[in-house]
Amino acid sequence: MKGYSGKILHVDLSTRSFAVEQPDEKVYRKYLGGSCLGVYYVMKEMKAGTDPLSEGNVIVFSVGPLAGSQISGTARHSVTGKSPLTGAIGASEAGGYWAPELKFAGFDAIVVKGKASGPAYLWVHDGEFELRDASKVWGKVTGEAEAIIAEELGDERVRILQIGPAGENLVKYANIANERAHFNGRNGMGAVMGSKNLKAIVVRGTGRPDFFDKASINEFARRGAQKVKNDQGYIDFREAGTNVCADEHLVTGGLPTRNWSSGTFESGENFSSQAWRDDLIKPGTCYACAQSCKRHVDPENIAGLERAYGGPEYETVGTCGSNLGIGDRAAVGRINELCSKFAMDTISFGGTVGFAMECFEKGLLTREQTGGLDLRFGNVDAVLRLAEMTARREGFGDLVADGTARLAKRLGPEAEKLAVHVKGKEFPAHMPQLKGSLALAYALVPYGPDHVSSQFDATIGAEPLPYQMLGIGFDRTEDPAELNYEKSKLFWRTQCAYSLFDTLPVCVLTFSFWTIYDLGDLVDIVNSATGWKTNLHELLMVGERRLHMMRAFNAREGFGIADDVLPEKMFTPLRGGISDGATVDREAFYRTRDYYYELAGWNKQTGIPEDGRLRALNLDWVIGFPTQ
Amino acid sequence: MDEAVAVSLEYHGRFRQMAGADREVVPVPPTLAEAVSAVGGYVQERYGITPPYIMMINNRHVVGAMKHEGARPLKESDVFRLLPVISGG
Repeated sequence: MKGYSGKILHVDLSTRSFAVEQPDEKVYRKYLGGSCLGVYYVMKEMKAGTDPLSEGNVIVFSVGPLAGSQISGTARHSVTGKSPLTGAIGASEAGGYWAPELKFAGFDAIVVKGKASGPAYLWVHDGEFELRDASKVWGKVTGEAEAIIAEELGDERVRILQIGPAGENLVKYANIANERAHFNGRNGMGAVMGSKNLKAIVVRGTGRPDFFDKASINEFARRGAQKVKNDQGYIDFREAGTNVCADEHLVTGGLPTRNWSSGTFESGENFSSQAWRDDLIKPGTCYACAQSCKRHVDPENIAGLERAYGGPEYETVGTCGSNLGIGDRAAVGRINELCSKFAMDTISFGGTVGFAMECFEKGLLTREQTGGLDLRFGNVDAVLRLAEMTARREGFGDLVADGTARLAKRLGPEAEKLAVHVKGKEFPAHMPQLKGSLALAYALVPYGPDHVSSQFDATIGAEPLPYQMLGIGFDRTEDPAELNYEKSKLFWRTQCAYSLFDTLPVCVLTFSFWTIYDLGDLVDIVNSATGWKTNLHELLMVGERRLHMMRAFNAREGFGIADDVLPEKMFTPLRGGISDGATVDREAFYRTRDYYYELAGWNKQTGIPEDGRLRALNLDWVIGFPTQ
Repeated sequence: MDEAVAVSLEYHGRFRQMAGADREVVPVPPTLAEAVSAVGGYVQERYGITPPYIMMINNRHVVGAMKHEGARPLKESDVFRLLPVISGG
């Protein structure tokens, strides 16, 4: 079998036992790798109703056929399990350097269940594996733990996937870090590791993937690097990273501000890509990626910060900057660094704190309840203090650590009206009031609100439509803000493609609709790796398969259409600035949601995938799964 | 263009580098619908700027504006804003 290692490592932490599975090639072709392979094992091995923070949860770390290649955007791995934040399926992807190293070490995935009797880390190297004592690194921030483990193993080139204190303390949105600045950010997968006493998975290998057509793989890598070098769009992205998003939002009024009350922030210009480029940021990258979009804070500009912890992505700027009424780049840099050290998702942290701040200003949360913290918008010191308290679950931080939904429930019905979440998960920094299809995405993505699960509305916002959109059935322009049938279609069709990206897994900033490689390239690259002679139809079916599997998993865990909703704030007009008055049209939302169910083949009354659709995708075993 | 109206084009993000300016004044046909098409053609031919991008007329997206006021005559104070989008949008 080409492109894969052909081996899955199963680890039971409770019994300290291991098993190596060598799946049939048919399994790989049906589920590919990454997130789809992850959800397959979670569904096969996790019992219904399992507490996500119990030893019964199953967590899967997986790569795909392209990991270890020199092609930009292929150094990705997925982490899949039941989310402690939502109770639904949790899925999260990350770049960095860990994915290729797992492949070099001889495995395509690691399936972990049980709970270690004490702090442990898993050491996987050249086909060998062992559990080691992690007492020395338990409680350490990521940078310190990384250094201690590397020294203990006597190898500076080990690649470490680890949790920080937030994961150890079961913060419901704790993330998983590799190389200090790359994260499986969302859904609290770090807390799942923490609940299993699993501090880290350390990998090292000297093997190399056996690709079907190595020359073709190398040629795609070379072409990608050449494209990045010569195109102004890639140059711009390389120099400013994801903070280029702010430029758009400054003009359209789409910068979430003060707990999503406005889309215009008076200090927003401080977050333009030009401002970041001039002041703070130096380039970084993932393994073999020519795009190099990762940004690192320049310690010469912000005293006391460490470059190794990276720099704020746009999502952090939106959620921990404008959403908290903070307009100072250095302050956002400090919040980002704290969250990185503790390995805690900045999106959920910023969302929860923004909600708490609005409650505080409206008298729904008192200084007594916050333990003396003055949580007015813009109070940087309070946010920095709260980040540490949250990661360590101290005082009011213990409540913030449980996320917006649980905090809102404690504060009462008036507070719940201000809470911005779906299924208990906070929103990324893109506003559905201005990007209509995101209203559907945030309500319907199986693992909760996500900004990299489908193509945004501007995709079909200008003539002539890009060939990539014509190729998947779009033939007219739409206003980005509008929510209509065409937007249901945009969400569903591109969601299947993005689901494929998460399954291979590849980076959506490199493999997407108008990035370095398009869908046609993707087919050729998969064939070069595997020799399968696959086609776009087969690959998109895998992406779709993953979505139905996740939906069936969620149904078994008690989720239905009542959970496919938006918070009240989305139907409340934004205040001030360019987007003053913008809102999600409630009636249009429910109408287009129904249309989405039809497109997806999900029952409109129950939200469960229809049997016929599952059979068409060779998912007969999923029929009846929701009632198991 | 006998009845052309001189409107402003405002460039954002990388389009500033591509156009070599933040802003310029160009003559366009007198109604919004015609002008949107003309602006798209102008920036593509002159600077190689192609969709996907966001084009706004003042503070509204042009597609939404055209639905309701496609035939409206343009004024010299009207500003077309062009914004790049990254993957995802």
